[in-house]
Amino acid sequence: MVKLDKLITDDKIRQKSFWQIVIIRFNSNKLARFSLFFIVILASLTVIIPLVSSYDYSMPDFVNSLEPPSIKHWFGTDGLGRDLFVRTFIGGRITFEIAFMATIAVMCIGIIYGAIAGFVGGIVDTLMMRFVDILYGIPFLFFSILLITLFGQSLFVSFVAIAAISWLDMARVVRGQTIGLRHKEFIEAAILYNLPRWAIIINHIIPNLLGVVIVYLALVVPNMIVLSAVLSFFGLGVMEPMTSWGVLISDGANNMTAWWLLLFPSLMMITTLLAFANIANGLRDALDPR
Amino acid sequence: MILFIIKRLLLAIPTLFFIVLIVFSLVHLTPGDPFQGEKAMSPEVLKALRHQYHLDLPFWQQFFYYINNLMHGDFGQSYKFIGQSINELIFPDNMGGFWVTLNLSLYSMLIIIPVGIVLGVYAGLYKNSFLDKLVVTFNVIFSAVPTMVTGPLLVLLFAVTFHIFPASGYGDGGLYNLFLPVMVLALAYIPTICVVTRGSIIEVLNSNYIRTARAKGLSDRVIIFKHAIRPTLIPVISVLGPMFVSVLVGAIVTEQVFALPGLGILTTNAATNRDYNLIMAITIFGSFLTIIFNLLVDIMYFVLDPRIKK
Repeated sequence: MVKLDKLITDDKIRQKSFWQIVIIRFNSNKLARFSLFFIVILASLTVIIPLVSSYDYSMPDFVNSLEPPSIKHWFGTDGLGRDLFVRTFIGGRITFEIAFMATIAVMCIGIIYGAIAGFVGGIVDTLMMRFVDILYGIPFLFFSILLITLFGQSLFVSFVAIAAISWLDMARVVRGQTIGLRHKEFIEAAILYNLPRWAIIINHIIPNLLGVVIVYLALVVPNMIVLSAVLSFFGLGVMEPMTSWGVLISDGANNMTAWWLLLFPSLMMITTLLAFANIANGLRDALDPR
Repeated sequence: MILFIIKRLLLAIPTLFFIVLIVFSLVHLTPGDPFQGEKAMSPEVLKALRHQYHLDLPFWQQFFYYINNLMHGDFGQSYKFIGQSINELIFPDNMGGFWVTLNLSLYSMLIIIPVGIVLGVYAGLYKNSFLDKLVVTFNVIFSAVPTMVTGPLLVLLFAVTFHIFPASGYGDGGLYNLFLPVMVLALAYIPTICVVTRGSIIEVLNSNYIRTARAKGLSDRVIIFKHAIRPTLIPVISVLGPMFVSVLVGAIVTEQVFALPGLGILTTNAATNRDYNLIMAITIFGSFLTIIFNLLVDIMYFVLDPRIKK
């Protein structure tokens, strides 16, 4: 079989898929591309640096406690003499882990819930969305604090608590999109074909939701980072000697005379959040150019 | 009008009821006893305590007691400080608890709303100018960076390095003590208002009736202040309700940063002491505020936008 795609070299004739166009558009946004690159590098560094560094993130070294930044300790040392550079990166690893795990959970719950509500419609939809409205009435911060106090303080619980309150927006967005899709010809064809509902949702609805979901995810990840950090301010972050950006910043805020304790983790978090904001912007423009 | 308000009120009540039910079930159906692991208590004392808090009753009766108390405006008693009423903790007679949080939020809203609207209108009127780009950049930065980062950094700059404002403490609740916390909240929430206003005025200025007003030969000043401002503000009002609630929540985070004696410290203490009743009360109170504000915004919307009235 001849591959037409390889023979036709004229770009104007050659058919590009939706996702190819999206990638091209995203790449043309320099700021967004650079931000994505930055996040990938940073995420890799949070894994690599604690492995290769000669300092250990958990070993106290009281002789060198609270040393300002120097060639030996780039970000200085904390009250227990631990190297802040390593701790910032291991904290970044934990922060990214919580954020990404929570985002995946948010995505799964939100997509399934929203797609079912939107596709089934009728009374099921009304009830499911009323439930979402009710949960919207609970301020997220108190709800996650409640969950963490109830189920104990651990990495797993804090990510569940964060995810449990963040899927609502996703469910709403997905439902709206699904309702738009439900009356498209290809879905009606699938219904006529007598496919079971779950098969239609999984094979035909969900793949067509991905555009919206991806834009939305780029907004969810930074939210999760902030939320997990906020919880640290209430003493509900990860436990010593493990750390996260939230814990580092809240420790730094409690010891302002050692300015480096606050400044470096804050700067890391700010650049990360801004990078995510740029990525979200780029993705939105790429997927939905009005 | 009155019918509309009554309808919205009737819808709010079941929502609040289900929120209480969800929160209450979460607290009471998870295994574990609030008095477990306390300093050794004799079985008799424990039994008396459990009776005092109705914990010896079946779930539904406990819930009934709780709802009944709530309807009388009573959040019950703290699990940690036996016999201490939660109402006194949240709404103390002297300054503290919710009053601090409310004070902080109100001051912040007083700055956020006008500054956000003015900046948004200017940016929209001078679209793509240098000022507009500055405002848009400001919005991008401060809607990404949360209060828990800007707060400590501002303290580091203004309090520790330059000694202009105190780093923490409530003092007499005056401007000197509250300036930094209010600034932190303002920086975080001005972008919300500003973005909406900017988008709104750009849309309004391109609408047909503005073209008509221009065709009539009205001056730009009259068009902007008489015809464009009111419709511009309608979408702004719709974000005010959710925003006031998030400012309250943001105020609680800010309180943590500045060690203000508000709901934040209460929540932290409740979380570390596992004082379920207190957290439950704060959560339900927060939900109550959320619903009330959304209701108020709906009513304001109704008054301002004649199109909804039919």
